[in-house]
Amino acid sequence: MTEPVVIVGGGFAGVAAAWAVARSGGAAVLLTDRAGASELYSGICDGDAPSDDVSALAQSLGLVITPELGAVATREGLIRRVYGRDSALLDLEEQAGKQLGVVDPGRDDWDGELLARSFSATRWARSTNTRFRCVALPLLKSGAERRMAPYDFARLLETPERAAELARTLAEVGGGTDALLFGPWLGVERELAAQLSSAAGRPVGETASGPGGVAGARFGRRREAVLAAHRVELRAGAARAVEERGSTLSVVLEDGSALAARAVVLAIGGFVAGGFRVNDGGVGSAASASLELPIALTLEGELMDRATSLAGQIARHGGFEPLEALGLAVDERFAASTRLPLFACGDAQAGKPRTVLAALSSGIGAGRAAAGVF
Amino acid sequence: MSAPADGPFDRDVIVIGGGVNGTGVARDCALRGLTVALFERNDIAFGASGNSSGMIHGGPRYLTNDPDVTYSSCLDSGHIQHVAPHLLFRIPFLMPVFGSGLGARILLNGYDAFFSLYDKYQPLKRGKPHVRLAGDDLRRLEPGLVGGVFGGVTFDEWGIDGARLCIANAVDAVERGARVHVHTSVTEILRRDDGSAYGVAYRNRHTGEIGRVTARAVVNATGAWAPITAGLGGLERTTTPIRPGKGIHVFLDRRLTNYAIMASSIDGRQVFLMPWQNMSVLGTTDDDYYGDLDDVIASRDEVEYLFQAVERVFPAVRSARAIGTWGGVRPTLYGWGGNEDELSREHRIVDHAEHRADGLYSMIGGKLASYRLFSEEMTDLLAKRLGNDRPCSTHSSPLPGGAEAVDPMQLVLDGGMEAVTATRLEYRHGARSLRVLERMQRNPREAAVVCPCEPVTEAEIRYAVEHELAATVDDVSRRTRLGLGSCGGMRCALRCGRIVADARGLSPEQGTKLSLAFLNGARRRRLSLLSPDQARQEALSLASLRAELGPDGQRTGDD
Ligand SMILES: Cc1cc2nc3c(=O)[nH]c(=O)nc-3n(C[C@H](O)[C@H](O)[C@H](O)COP(=O)(O)OP(=O)(O)OC[C@H]3O[C@@H](n4cnc5c(N)ncnc54)[C@H](O)[C@@H]3O)c2cc1C
Ligand SMILES: Cc1cc2nc3c(=O)[nH]c(=O)nc-3n(C[C@H](O)[C@H](O)[C@H](O)COP(=O)(O)OP(=O)(O)OC[C@H]3O[C@@H](n4cnc5c(N)ncnc54)[C@H](O)[C@@H]3O)c2cc1C
Repeated sequence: MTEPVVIVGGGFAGVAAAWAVARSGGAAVLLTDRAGASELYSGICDGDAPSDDVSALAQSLGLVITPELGAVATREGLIRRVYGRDSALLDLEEQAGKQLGVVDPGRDDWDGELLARSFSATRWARSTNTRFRCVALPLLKSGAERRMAPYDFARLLETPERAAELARTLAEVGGGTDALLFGPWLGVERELAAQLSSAAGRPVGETASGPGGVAGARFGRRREAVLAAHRVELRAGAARAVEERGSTLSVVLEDGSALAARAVVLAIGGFVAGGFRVNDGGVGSAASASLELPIALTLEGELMDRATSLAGQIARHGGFEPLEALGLAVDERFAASTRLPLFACGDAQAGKPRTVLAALSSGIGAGRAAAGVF
Repeated sequence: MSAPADGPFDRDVIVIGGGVNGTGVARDCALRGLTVALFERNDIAFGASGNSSGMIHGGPRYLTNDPDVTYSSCLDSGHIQHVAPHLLFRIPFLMPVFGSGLGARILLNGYDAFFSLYDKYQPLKRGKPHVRLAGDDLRRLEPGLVGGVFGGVTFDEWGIDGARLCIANAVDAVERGARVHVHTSVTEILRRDDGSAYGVAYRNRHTGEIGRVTARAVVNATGAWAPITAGLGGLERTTTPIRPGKGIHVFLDRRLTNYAIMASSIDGRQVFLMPWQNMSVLGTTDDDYYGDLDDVIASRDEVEYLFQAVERVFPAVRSARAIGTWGGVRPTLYGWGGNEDELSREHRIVDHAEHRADGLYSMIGGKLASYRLFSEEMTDLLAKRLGNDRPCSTHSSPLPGGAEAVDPMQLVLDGGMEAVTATRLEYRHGARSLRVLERMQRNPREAAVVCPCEPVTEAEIRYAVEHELAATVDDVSRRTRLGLGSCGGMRCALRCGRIVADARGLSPEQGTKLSLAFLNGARRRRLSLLSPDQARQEALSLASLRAELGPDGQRTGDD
């Protein structure tokens, strides 16, 4: 059999599946459409304590995994305990009991004074006796830089002249602070946090990113490297359907062409990624996957077909959480119910937590199971 | 704790309810030198007043039976414009006539004749005369109208932000010595042995603090809550005969028209699609309501009812994304058609002396548009009772911010604000936008835009907390529209909570709780809006909130 495993979706789960297939010696093709949750995420990796496999993969994706809970700062002045983070995020746990500088360049979306007060007043800071103070850093060259999106600001700061200037400034300011906390502006294409840390002679890092910020963009960049290193074929485009062809499967693309697959991993994400969608705003508002599948969606163990009202589920629940509980219930235990070499992982799975570590570990599981199908 | 039933009294007047009528009376009393305490169990404008269609109309529907009402409505609309010019905006209406042949022509002639009559009153409120249009002209004005328009008329009304109107009245009352207690429920109306009222007992819903205040007169201005409030004094609910009518609105993420367009619903009622800043609004419904008045939520059926009605006239309404709803309960007079006097007014003052409760009054019915007149009538009665002979001046004394005009351009030049920020700020605060500007000049940090959808600056949030009785993120949103744009507060609610907490000296965790209360409430008001785009937005906002607070953070606010 020469057909590859086809993975639909290139977020954390899809990359993990492709990585696992490649490591098992199989051939993998990864098909992905537009940006999903992984390109929008915060840079924080929640979930259970990760396995060794997850840690190994995470590292090659530029994430830092700590076996003990670490701590990171959010944009909104809170501090969170986590197992993993994008390497550009400042690890506060290492700074416990010290004095941290909250850098304030004068941007509209960032109030260093208020944030420093807010971080200092959190339970974590009080219990570890960690202090934060605002460090004014006049970095802005124009009024436009005050308001531009964090992503664009990060692209600007990593240009060679600006990065060099920032490194020079950091060598001089913030006396008396043990580490410097920036907003989510420390580069997309370059590892600016690491460069600045060595220039400043102390740790320099970011808070978590807002939706569509730099952490997700860095994931997008690092993904390419991991896939290339493992010789996974990356294809842009959307799948329209997965069909049964005797003992194999066929993935039909938007342009009508088809890929024969010995197994298919569905890593299509959730509603954020467009992996699932509400069909219309009218009666009931049923949900469906972004491609035709020989299996049905489930929500809390119930099958969801075209006649099932998602609006009704939401009304009964009294919140939008069903949007995150809905998904595919075919995991690495090989779908006995469907008898098809078809697996789901990441946000596409029904009833699983929507976290990075869950996406990575379920992706590895699905990839391994798919590679084992002969 | 016993309060003296025979004086000295703490205040001349106690007002229960911080809607447009309660704040209107409190202000009128304060202007005439009476001492007032006002109690509002939620926030100012929490009820119908902050959830209406916001039309200060001139009462065209009375034109044929009772032109005097049209006259006084138009006159009063003119008064409101005079005292709060910044809060009013023109709403040009378009009333299309469909079909063809004689039927359509007769209908159009009828509208034409009717609005010619209305034109006579328009100058009282600085309105423009109506225009009769042929079908082609109509479609040139609004290309999105369906085919088959025979013709139509345009007419002119005024809109207002009802919440801002209430805030302006409350703030003015406070500045003139009134005590306004928000988030404080009246729990009992105190009565003497002879039945007369002499004060109220209250409970602060945030702090739990309880107390009593005595006064020489008590006014029940609690809108649809009026029968419940009457019960707090041991009166039967039939003493305040209202029929609660729920109405909802839906707002859409883009501006679809330049005119407000009228359409007929499936049951023949008139509903509208109205442009509002860079968004559009669909309204409204009217159904009997006996649910929780503190939690009025639009249902999917009501939303669909509005869409279906408007879609027949303006199909593109479905192309916009519904991003929010609001709902309120009208305190409609029960069987008001029965009595000629009530018919002409739609509002009534009940003197509960007729129920052995001398000194207690209920204001029932009414409209936003007639609040000033209704408040004047109520205050006249109080003044007479209390021996005060100062005349009413609410038609001539400007509300806060209404005294002089400020050019938003000045805010742009002096404050470095962006034009939209300046325009919205000036709309909400009139001349007082200069006070917000001053804050920014003193502390440039406060010029930061916190809610980019509206937009709202940090200075305005702090101003609302310090000078406009706001205590929560919800309260700030009611005053500024923060968090009601297409991202549903995803980008600003947490930051606003942090600022409110900081301004009030609360911890960051308490600030997060205020943000979550707002986000959860706003999300509940969107549960009925499950379009494809909105579903993605809701999933995104759930995820981004979790990113800030952690998987369990919605419960605890911190790890
Ligand atoms: C704003 C935000 C903040 C977050 N913050 C955190 C956090 O702090 N901590 C944490 O642990 N998690 C966080 N998450 C969740 C985390 O990002 C997700 O759980 C994880 O990224 C899911 O990865 P995935 O691979 O399953 O899905 P996705 O990354 O969504 O990938 C799915 C991919 O499938 C593609 N696709 C869908 N249908 C098709 C098709 N028919 N054909 C081809 N391709 C298709 C999509 O285009 C998309 O690229 C956050 C998410 C968001 C949105
Ligand atoms: C959908 C809708 C559309 C409308 N459109 C228009 C329009 O376009 N034009 C127009 O002129 N009118 C309109 N109206 C009518 C208008 O909004 C109301 O008539 C008016 O706002 C009533 O004001 P109020 O002060 O009497 O009551 P409310 O604004 O309801 O105020 C009553 C207040 O009392 C408080 N309260 C209740 N119990 C207690 C207690 N025990 N202690 C302390 N406080 C208490 C409540 O929290 C509430 O804030 C509309 C109404 C609705 C619902």
